[in-house]
This record gives sequence, C-alpha cells and structure tokens, in this order.
Amino acid sequence: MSDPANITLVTMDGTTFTVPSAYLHRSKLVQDWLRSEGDKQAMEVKHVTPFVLQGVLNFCEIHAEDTSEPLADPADPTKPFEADPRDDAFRGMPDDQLLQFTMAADILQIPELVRLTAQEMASRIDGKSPDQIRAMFNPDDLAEEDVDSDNEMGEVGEEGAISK
Amino acid sequence: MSRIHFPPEILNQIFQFLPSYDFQVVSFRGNHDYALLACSQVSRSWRAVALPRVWSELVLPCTSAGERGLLRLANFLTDAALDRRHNLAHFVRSIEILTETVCEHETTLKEVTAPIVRIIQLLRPGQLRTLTIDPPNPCPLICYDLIPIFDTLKSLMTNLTTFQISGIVDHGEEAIDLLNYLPVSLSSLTLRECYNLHTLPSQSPPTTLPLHHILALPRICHLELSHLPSSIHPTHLICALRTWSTSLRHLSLIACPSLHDDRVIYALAQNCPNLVRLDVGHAFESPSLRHITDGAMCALIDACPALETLSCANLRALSDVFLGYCARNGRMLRHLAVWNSPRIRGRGVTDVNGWSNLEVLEVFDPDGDMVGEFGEMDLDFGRAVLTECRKLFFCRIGYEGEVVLRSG
Repeated sequence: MSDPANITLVTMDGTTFTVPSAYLHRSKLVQDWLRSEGDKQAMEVKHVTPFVLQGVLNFCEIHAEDTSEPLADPADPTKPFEADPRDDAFRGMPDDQLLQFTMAADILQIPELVRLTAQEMASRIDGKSPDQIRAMFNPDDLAEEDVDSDNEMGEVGEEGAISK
Repeated sequence: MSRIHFPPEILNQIFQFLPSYDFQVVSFRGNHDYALLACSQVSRSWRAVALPRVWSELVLPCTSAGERGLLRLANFLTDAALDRRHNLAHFVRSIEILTETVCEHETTLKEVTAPIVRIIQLLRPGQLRTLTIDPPNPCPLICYDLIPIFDTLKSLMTNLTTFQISGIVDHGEEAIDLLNYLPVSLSSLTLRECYNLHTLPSQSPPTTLPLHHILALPRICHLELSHLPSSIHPTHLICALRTWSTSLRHLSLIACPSLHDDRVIYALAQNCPNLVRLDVGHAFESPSLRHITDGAMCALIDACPALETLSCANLRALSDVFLGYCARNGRMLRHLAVWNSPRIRGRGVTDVNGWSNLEVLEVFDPDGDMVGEFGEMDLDFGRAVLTECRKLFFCRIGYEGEVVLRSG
C-alpha cells in the first residue's frame, strides 16, 4: 500500500513523481482516486507529459498553503480572477505549451489552474481578428457556406447588435 | 507552422473567459471587437464551440430605432432555421427584451413586435433559461400591443431558471397571466414596480398578481419584489421562506409595506441561514415601516452568518441598539446601508470590531442636520468607523453630502 501522506503520479511515458498528497488537495481527480483507489501504488496520468506534470505540481506546491476557498467552477463570476505574481511563469509561456497545461489542469480537475491558463489563453485571443487567431494556431478550415453565413451574421450584428 | 488542436472541452473553458458582449460597445464600434464572434470564424472546430455561445443570449430592442435590425435578424434566423445544422435560434438560452420607457407616438413599435414574435417562434419549447422583459409604459394611443409577445413566450417558459420583469401590472391581465407560467425550475425571480401606475382608461381595474403561484415555486434562491400591493400577507411569504430555506441567498422587498414586518425577518432568521443579501424598506416614510424592530434585525445578524449586504431604508423603529449589535457581530458584512432611521445616531457605538470586512457603509438621514463632521451622527461612532474598519473604501455617515473614499 502506498504512503497515505504522499502520492505517486505516473505520466504517459512512465516517469514517476512522488509528492505530498496535501499538494493536490484542489485536484478533484486525485481526491476521488485517493478515496476509491488510494491503496494502489501509483496513479496514472496517461495524457500528461513529464514536463507538464512537473509544472502542474510546481503550481500545486506554490498554492498548497493558500487559504482561499476551493473553486467549484473555474469561471465562477462571483470570484473574480486576480493575477498572482507567483504564477508569472504561465504568462510568458508559448501558446502550445499553455494549451498543454490547460489540458492537464482539465484532466486533473484543478479549477484554479484551469482558470489561470484558460484566462491567459483568452486574453491572448481577445481583440484579435479571425485571421490573426488563425495565424496563431493554424487550425482547420471553415467551409465556404459558413463564411457566407458569417458575413451576413456580421451585418446583422452591426445593424442591431442583437446577439450577445 | 504546426497545427495546434484544441479539444472542444478546452475551447469551451477558454471561451468562458472571453469578455461578455457589450451592446453599446458593439453598436458603436461594430462587431470586430467581439471576441466570441471572431472565434466562431476561425475554423470548423472553433465554430462548433463558439456559435452556441455567440447566440446564447439575444437582446431584442423593442424600439423604433431597433426595427431595421430586428427585421433583418428575424429574416436571418428564419433562413438559418431552414437548414437544421445551422438553426442558430436553437442556441438561444436567454432573451432580453429592451424597450423605450415612453412611447412618442411617432414610433412604429407595432411593427417592431412582429419580428420579435417571429424570432421567438423559432425557439423550441423548453430551451429558454433566462427571460428579462422591460416593457414600456402603456401608450394611451395604443401605438403597440405587447400581448402577442407575451403569448408567444408562454410556451417557452417551461424550463426557465431566471425571470425578470418590470411594470407588468400596467399591461393588464394578459401580461400578468405570464406569471402563471413560471415553472418549478425557476430559481431567480425579479418583479419590479408591481403597482398600477399607468393604467389606461380603456383597461380594467388593477388585477391581482398570482402571488400564491409565485410563492409556491420550490427552488427560489433569489427574489426581488418591489411595489407589491398590500394584499400579500406576511404569512404567505413566511410559508415560502420555510420552503426555500437554505437555498435562499438574496431577498429584496422594496416598497412592499405589508411585508415590512418583524415576522418576516424572524422567519428569515429561523429558516434561511445562507442569506447573503437583504434589501428592505422604502424610499419614502410609511407608518407601516415601524414594524421591523431591533430584536428581529439582531436575530437576523446572528442567524445569517453569510450576510454580506444589508440595506434598510426608512425603517423608523430601528435604533442604536441594532447598530451597536451589528457593529459587534456583523462579521461577514461588506455593505451596510441604513437610510433615514431617526433613532440611529451611533450613540455609544464605538465597538465596531465586527465590521472587519466592511467595505461600504452608509448611515445617514437625508433630512438630518448638516452641521459638524458627521451631521447628527455621533462623532465617536464616526471616528471609530474610520479608524477601525480597515477595508472600508466608501463611507457616508451623517448626511448625503459627506463621503469618505479610500483607495486600496
């Protein structure tokens, strides 16, 4: 049986990280796992790379002593986001890396980290045109009929500013 | 450059943080700053996630100025509905109907209601969650008729969670009948100006609101009532408070004279420990506002430890006994307003340690003496507040003109 004071996480390539369980008290996935399968040796985090998991654990360690009430919903409007200088590393991160952290936070269900990374990604998108966003992320294309529909939608919005 | 693939659930998380739509900004500057609309035009996968958010809230300006836009929107959504994959109306979860407050008779509001009805008819029963209606005052020349809008909305209200309307009584029985369609799923209800201010000669006398139906709704956590008729008895509300119990977070009873009663406050204290906000009173003095006393308000402070906002207007029976108790025990209070209570002067209230979280304090009498640092309010009380309440950033003690602002 594993040490209840510590938890071992295994990444997609088999790399293991053993940290105090208390670091991960805001991770709903880890807390659920500790309750149901805590007697096992290690918890697998299959879709997360060692680099990203290390970064997530750093975030958890930095915030382990925080006394704020855990967030139930990352976008809870009653709890406005306030930038924390301890999280500056996430603000200078390349887009693709930031996305990896957002996904890891989502997988591990850490609302505070989801909020931090998703908020940062949103701030990079906000104010940019579709072309500028495409240049950032090179996503798949739009169908031709969608482009026609968008043009009309834009005209409707400009006249009456109807849809929120 | 390599393609970055965003899983839909991650895009959804990100899009939650894009700024909400601002009607005025978009009207003035066009759509280009509207981030969600831009996201819907990036790629197929982004579009699939963004479009439901873009169209989730509709603002329908029931004004002559909005006529052209409404007509075009109605045509656009009708065309889109022909293709099931692009039926944008099915994404709508919230409708807000904005109106001009006064009909100027030169408007074409009658023509505005028709496209609004067409748009509403494109929605499916049960898809709407939030409905906000701010109808105009009735027009004596009957330039428009909102009844078709109300009638169309009724079938869409089966899953509503939030409903807000102002001045419904003015529009007669058909409008009031809308309240009978409020479903059991409703958690937030705001009924403003429920008095018959603009009854037209052609209309029948004031109609009774279906308060029994409203107070029987089981899931209310936010209730705002203003200018309710006196026909509602405190026992009706008390019974509802027992039902709502721990769910109730916000209660506002403005100018509801029959409900300004100790029995309601004690019922809140006994049944609603999670109350976060209470607004009670009336802007104008009324004899009935003497029925809320220190004892009931102190019991409320004790029993509702989550109470953050408390506004009392013209509660004439409140005294420094309540103020002192509140100052010692209102530990979660962040906003306290006590207007026009002549027996509240702050005398002997110097222990304000309970207000460690207080950010806004307004204790004043608009008709009070404007002489001295805090008008008629006790000097020691004012100084204790300014010294001890470290988080206070807005303070008005004594009379309206005196405001202390702090930064940080």
